[in-house]
Amino acid sequence: MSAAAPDPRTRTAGRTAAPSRHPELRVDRIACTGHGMCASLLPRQVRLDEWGYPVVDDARVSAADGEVAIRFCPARALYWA
Amino acid sequence: MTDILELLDAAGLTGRGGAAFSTAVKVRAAREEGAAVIVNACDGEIGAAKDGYVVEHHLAELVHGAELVASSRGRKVRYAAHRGSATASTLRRAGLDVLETPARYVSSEETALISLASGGLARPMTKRKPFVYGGRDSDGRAVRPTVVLNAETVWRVAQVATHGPAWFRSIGTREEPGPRLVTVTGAVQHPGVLDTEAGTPIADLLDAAAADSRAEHLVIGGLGGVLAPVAAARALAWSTAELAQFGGSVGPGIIDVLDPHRCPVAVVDSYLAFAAGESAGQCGPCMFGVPALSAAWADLLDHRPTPARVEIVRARAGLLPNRGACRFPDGVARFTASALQTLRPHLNAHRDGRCPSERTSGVRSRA
Amino acid sequence: MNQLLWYVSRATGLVSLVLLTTVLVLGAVTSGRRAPHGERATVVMGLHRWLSLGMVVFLGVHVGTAVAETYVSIDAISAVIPFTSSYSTLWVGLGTLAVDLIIAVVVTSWLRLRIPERAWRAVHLTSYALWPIALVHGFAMGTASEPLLRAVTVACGLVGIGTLAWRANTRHADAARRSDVLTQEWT
Repeated sequence: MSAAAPDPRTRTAGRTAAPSRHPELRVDRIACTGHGMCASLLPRQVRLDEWGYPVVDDARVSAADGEVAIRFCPARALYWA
Repeated sequence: MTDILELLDAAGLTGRGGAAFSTAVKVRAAREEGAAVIVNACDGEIGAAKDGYVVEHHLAELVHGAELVASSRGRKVRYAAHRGSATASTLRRAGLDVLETPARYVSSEETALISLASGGLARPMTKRKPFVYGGRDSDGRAVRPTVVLNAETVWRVAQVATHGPAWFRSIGTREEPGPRLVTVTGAVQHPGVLDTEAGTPIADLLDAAAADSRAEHLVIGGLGGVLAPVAAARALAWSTAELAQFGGSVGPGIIDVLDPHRCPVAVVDSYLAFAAGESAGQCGPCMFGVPALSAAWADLLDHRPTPARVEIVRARAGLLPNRGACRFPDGVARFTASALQTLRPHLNAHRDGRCPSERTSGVRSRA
Repeated sequence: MNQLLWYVSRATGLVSLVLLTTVLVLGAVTSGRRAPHGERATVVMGLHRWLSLGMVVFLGVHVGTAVAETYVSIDAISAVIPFTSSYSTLWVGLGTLAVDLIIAVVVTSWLRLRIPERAWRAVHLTSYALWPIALVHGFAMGTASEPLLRAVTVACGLVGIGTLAWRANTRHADAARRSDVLTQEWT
């Protein structure tokens, strides 16, 4: 699911890294092979360049929409950050 | 003996490899995670020489710095250098554990070195979280916690331990403290590495290297940096605060003075042609976008640079930032945008059918 | 009753094969990058997922009725472990093998985000093997007397083979560029 409790491994100098307010949807650019499923599912936030790779105009995607996109990506290239 | 972490906190040393990340934070995390250490002495950027300089002239201090970073737990330290380089030979002769890196532009990138050290190829990896915490490579195989520090940074760590944070802070500016190496190269009589500091007038650096007085442009930070006019640069100090005007930073500390006889548009063309062949071929926007950008710039050079052609270059460059696993495409975009800005008068002259560089050389230069 | 079970078993077997072939084609269209961009790409992917679940339902009925009917002896064990039935050991065994692989593909896909991507990929690739196995099973299991069943089975075979041939021959730009760059020096 989306980032819940902060990962204890991000502790540095006694501080715990605070989780971001709303996780952003990110593309693993190495895994992405340009299927374009994300742009179909999130047309207001993602478009495709001339080679079919996503341009993320707005990474703030709702949890529900993001989960669907993550599941549908054939290359498993989407993740929450 | 005061803990090195306290000394680094007080000194405010930041990475000298280009990203300028807080060394104290990095070393603290490395110790907490028991991370392996890679000292990056590759001089991977175009025109770089300072990593080799540290290895040639300050090897004992460098090794001491590495020991301080790796801590008493005896974490492995490896020294990364390009295969076949003088730096690699020197390190090997000193009996150090050398990570021989292919002489590819992106191979000396932080995650590429970690990938190579983990038994993979020297190509960048997707960084979901810093690799000091460990992670996975592109095939999903686990990568052990590892940090990469630039050779100059590690040398400075030893210096901070020896001379103290007060000494370090007494050099440079408040925001950018400490001594810094700068390589000055290109159309200069005395190319080499200078040990200087933030706040030094760039004019002083150019004069120390005896730069060609007719030079009109220089590249600060190599392919991932910016192309700037000499006249404007001479009025500034060597600091990220001031270089931001060109969209640049002190970065890996390189000033390449361009030969005034050579058309700068052709120089940028050769930089971008090089970039086109150096993509790691892992991310679509880079492996297609960088060659496309290079082709668009070549179009500018070979044909008249009409506003339409310039716009194509701008658009192609605009699609590179933040769309790859590493910052290589971002650097190429930054370099191109600065070139478009700085060379606007020159491109206008091209559009009118003449090249200002021809005046000095008399030869229409494409190479 | 027994005859009803027998008919239902054969009918659901045929439907399962048709669905399997369709799912295979939809998957190949996606991986071979023929899926159109825009809305229809998600339709292809959605159908690929949902039809495979529908196929599992039909398969369940197919196997269940085959075990339940007493005309031929196929016990529950041989519905799970290949090549253990006394009736038509080889052909039934192929069917069992195909079902085992389908279960692996479906389960790993359902759990895809929780397992290593390499594992998912390796299991999913067995689809290219399990389809011909299912096809041979369907062809051999008594369609000789039913021209319609045979015709549909043959049609599935032709569509599937055509798809596999096309898939083996497509080159899309992403894969081509990746493999080109891999031939350069990176170690």
